[in-house]
Amino acid sequence: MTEDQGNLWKGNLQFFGKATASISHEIKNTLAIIAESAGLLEDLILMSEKGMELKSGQLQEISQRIQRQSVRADLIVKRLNAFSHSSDELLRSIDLLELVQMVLPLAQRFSLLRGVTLEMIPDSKNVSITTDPFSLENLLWRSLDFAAARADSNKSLLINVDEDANGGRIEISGMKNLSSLSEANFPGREERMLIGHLKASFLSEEQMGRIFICLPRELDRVS
Amino acid sequence: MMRILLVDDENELVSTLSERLQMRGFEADWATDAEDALSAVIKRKYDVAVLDVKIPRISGLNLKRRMEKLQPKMKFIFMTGHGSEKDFRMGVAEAGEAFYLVKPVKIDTLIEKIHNVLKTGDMEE
Repeated sequence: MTEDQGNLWKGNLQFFGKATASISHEIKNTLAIIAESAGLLEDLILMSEKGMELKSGQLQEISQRIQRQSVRADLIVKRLNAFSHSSDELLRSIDLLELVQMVLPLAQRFSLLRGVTLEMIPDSKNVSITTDPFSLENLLWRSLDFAAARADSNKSLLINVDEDANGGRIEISGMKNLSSLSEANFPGREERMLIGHLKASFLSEEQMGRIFICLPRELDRVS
Repeated sequence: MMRILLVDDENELVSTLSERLQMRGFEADWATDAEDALSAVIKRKYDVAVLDVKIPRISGLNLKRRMEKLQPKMKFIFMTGHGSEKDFRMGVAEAGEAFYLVKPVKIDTLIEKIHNVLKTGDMEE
């Protein structure tokens, strides 16, 4: 294994760790709400034993809260499952839009801590490409993190997926005037390594506050 | 009556916890972001604030500092869902191990910590 390959693996492993820690945090939150709701039910039962009237509306509200959180936990676990399986094959055909839709909720928790929301542009297109999905997820995650730190006053990043002449591209817009990306050291060493590995190109329209990740339709091999 | 302010971006968590505290004789309000928490502290006096370590746009630790400026006598308890070593160290360094909770929080443990933090005076001592 070359030094570059080693660094790429290390970077991807760190990304996996961060993403799964974030997912586990989200699961923990849903479990905490379910646990508190069960506790509240117990409180109400105890109070009813002491003569307080149980109100059906309140019970229904608690039941609906538990159901909402169970649905939320189920979605999170499905997302975790899809994310974990994205590292199964180093090279495979993917739908770029589906990949972006899977990464956004993972990145959303971090961007929300900066007060920034992530939104897909509704007319984003399904684009089929062959790539290393896990490395692409890492590159997208890092790009979204960079963008969230530089979001403009709307505090909302828009993400678009479209076809281009060579394959597909992901556009992230909603940043402040990016007067000098190189000053911000983006793409940095790790991003450049991922870009090289994916044979992608990184473009920016600094005055427009947007960046593009352009990907080839066929990545023929990964090292 | 003791007044508690719960701050966490999980709306349904703080609203339920607040309801359970109210059933136990506390006056409990809740907020899901720093702005709401600070405006609550401007409007009312609280004995204890229970803060998530990570709150949108601001860390729980920074929020604590801003709240302390508004109400220097207010006491703080931190809670986290993370359980990461780094967050744990950060929370413990600021709040002291005795006033740091990992979610899910047991209501009796929270109440015990509320009483303890009020008894001990300034927790940084």
